[in-house]
Amino acid sequence: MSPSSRFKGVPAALRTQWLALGGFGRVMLFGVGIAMVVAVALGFVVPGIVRADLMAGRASSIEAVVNDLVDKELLTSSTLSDEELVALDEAVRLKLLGGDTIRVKIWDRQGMVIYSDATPLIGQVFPLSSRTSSALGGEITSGTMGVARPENEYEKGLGPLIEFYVPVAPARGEVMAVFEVYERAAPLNATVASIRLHLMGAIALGLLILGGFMFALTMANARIITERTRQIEDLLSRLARAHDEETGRIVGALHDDIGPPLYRIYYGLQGIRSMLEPGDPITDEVMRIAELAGHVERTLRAELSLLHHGSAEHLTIDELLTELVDKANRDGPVPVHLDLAQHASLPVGQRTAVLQVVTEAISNVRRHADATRVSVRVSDGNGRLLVDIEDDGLGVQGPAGLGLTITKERLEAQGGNLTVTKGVEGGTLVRAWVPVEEVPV
Amino acid sequence: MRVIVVDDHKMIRDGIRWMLMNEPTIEIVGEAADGEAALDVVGEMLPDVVLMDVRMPGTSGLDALVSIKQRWPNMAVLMLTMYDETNLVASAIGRGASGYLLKSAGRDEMIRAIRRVGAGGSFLQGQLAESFVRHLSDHAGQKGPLELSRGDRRILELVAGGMGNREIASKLAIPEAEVKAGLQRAFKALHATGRSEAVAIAFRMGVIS
Repeated sequence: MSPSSRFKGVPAALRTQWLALGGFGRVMLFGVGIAMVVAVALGFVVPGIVRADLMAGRASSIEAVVNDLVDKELLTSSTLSDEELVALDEAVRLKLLGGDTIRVKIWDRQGMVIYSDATPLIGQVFPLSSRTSSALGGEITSGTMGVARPENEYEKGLGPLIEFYVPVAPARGEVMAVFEVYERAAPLNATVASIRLHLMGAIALGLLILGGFMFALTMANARIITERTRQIEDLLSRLARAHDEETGRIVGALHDDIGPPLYRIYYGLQGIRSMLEPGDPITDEVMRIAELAGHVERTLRAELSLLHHGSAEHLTIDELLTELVDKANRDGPVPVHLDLAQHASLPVGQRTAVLQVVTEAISNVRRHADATRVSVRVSDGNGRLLVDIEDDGLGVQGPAGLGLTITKERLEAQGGNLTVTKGVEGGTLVRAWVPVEEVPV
Repeated sequence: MRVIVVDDHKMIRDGIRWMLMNEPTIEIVGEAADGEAALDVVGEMLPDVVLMDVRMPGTSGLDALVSIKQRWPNMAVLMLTMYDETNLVASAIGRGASGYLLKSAGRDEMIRAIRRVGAGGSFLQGQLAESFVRHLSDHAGQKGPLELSRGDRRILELVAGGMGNREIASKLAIPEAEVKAGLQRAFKALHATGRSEAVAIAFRMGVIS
């Protein structure tokens, strides 16, 4: 997935910030996010744990009272005489009832209430609740009271209650009864609510402080990013200007420092030639040197054209050839057709050599071939880039000229070469090739 | 045929003088190193043909061409340049040049061109003629680079001096948007795709100096 599609719909400023954070920064931000979620979750979970712990503590207190009653032999069996009931009632009222504890019941294993401070319940039999059954199994249980149960008829209208079930067992004996205690839930609920309030307040304050720090860090980071972006833009602007100035300097140097002496040589040789007799060996040599000067002049103009339109360093060979052919079609009398096939990319040295051979070949066609069209074909073959320049003109006229000879040497330096043969239409076919792998020169 | 050679490089003037020295029908009667000096020499020598470089410091060849044709409408001016840009050919012909010759032309071609324009005819180097006609056809009705306003040319000159848009806006006391609009017009007129290319073309064509 590309970065642009991954960030689709995300504001550019946020996208920039996110990318600027880097891998470590993103892990840190993710960690802070997880910590915030955990803190909020704990704000809900911890009060529940506290409530359970408080109820367990209260259950232990009740268990201690029950064990004390058993130790004092006030609850020796599930069958109590009237005197035993009176003594047990006094002890229960003294040690348990009062305050938030509002009801006590003692159940035998058959579901009969064998004692209660609500005396009408004594002797009545009810279906055993799940908590009573668990307590008969030896487990202390507690929870919110179920008011719908028939044995709780007397507790209706007393508000939310909590019930505790404590097994009654003589030393190392089996559970013979269950002690049930009802207490008001309001004080416990108020305590838990107070703890929750303070805990959530502390978490909110912590998150606020964390958020403040995060905001400050983000703002500081944004300022740094903005400043860096401005510096980069400034540097790029200066770089572009320096590039323009350097290009201008090179163009000026080529045009003003190399051009005039070159034309002086060219014109001078032509003047000398006009003073010599035809057939003189010196005349032939002067003509060859003049041709060489002409080749240098064409190369100079081609290089200047590249500098004006973009250098070989920044353009692919396809772009360079397209530009060259476009220019040839704009300026020259012979139409040039370019046929590009898919091929491997070329290093800059090969690109320049290929560009030079095409430039030279088109120039030769214009000057010597009397052709009506030229085709330039680029293809890929066996690790080589092949370039064919073919015209429908007069065909090969003697050995290759000086320009193509120099171009051939340049290709050879790049691991390539060229041949000049007769084309299928009778014109000239210049075939050049370079290896697609970079060759050290 | 009496000829004046105008080029800012003495080496080129010397080269042309040497190349044409053995040609009995042509006599180099004067030289000048820029467009302004050319006007003085032309006024003094009243030659048959002025052989003049397009790009020169100070008064460019194209500007001097206009001045020469204003003062001496029948004077034949043969423009000489390194570049085979059809825009440049069109500019020169549009200003009244009798012919256009590349510096890479051989002796025989240069003699032929001088004789032709000196006799009242016109001359375009072979490879330039067809592309020039195509250029006229392709650009019929379009605004050319020489019709660029003085303001747009000034902006281009400041770009050539290495200034950014903001600096140019500040120097010319115009909004930056106006600088950008001026550059866009210049790019279009010069058929350029960027700042450096526009400056290079403008230099070559003598639009700026």
